[in-house]
Amino acid sequence: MADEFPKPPQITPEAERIRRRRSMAIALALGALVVIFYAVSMVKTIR
Amino acid sequence: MSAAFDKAADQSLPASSVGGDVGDYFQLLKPRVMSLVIFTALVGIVVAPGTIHPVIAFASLLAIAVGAGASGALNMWWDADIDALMTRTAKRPIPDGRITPKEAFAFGMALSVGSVLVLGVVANWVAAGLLAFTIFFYAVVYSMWLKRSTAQNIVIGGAAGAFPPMIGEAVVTGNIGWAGFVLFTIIFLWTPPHFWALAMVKAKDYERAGVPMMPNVAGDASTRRQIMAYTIALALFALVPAAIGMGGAAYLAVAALGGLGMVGIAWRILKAPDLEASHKAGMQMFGFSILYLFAVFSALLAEHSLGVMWALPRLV
Repeated sequence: MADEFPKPPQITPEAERIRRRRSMAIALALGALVVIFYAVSMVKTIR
Repeated sequence: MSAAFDKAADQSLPASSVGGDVGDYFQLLKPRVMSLVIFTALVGIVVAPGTIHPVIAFASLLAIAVGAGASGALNMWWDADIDALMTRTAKRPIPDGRITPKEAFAFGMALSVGSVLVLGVVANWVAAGLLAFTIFFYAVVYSMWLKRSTAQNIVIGGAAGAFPPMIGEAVVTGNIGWAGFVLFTIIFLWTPPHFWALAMVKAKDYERAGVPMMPNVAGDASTRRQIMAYTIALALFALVPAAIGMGGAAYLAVAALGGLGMVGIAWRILKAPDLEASHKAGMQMFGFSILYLFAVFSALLAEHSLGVMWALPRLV
């Protein structure tokens, strides 16, 4: 039964590098969004 | 069954199958256009009557920039077929096969919705509505409708590039006012001479792609006359900020000198004895017009942000 499950397809090191860079960029963008929303919330609250 | 799976697993997926690299997605945003949008929106924020907290201004500019980039991505998604036919655009991520059209569309739509929502929450919904309209105007009205159907494509479509200062003003005031309208008109009048100068040089490219740019439809002579007409209108209208108290003496000097330079190059295009001279003057116009717009908007930015405006008597 265990043999029925497919192995995930291998990707080339170049494809792996592209995928990692893209994940990092998405993480950074989301992090920046959190910081911006925090800063804007603080400014609006103080004002 | 298992053997088939093993066989599939043995085949390594190439880099192209996992989607584009970060740089490819960034290229989809048309970074050069985006930098112009950030700059003109910043001037709109600075000249607007009123004040705004720098954090709100920064976050708003970021949302406007992302919205502009999103419309660029949607434009590249729609125009991928003609981009592949032109030397200037053939290396863009979609025609070059680095990003699929589906990915570009999803990226553009996600950023469009995200940027409008963020601007609405951070600044106000008037500015967000204007940004949504700008994205719609560029992606649908210009890219999908006008670009392939009329030689007036960049005249009407140019409005999309002229909206950012109005959005900037709306970020501060929550309204659409005269300051934003004046800056809108300057960019609106600037667009035809800027793009037609390039279209004259790249006429064969546009012909091959079937895009009805003015030089291909109306001919070289008519385009030269229209470049002259729009340049004179631009040079004169760019003096308006000085007349209504929006710009001071420094602005007037920059706008007047820059306007003379623009008219001088337009005259050289108009009177060019042959195609080679006309193309040379066309490239001069393309480069100088960018410098002109930057200088005129920089003068306004400096006068308002540094508080160094030597006021002129108001005519209006």
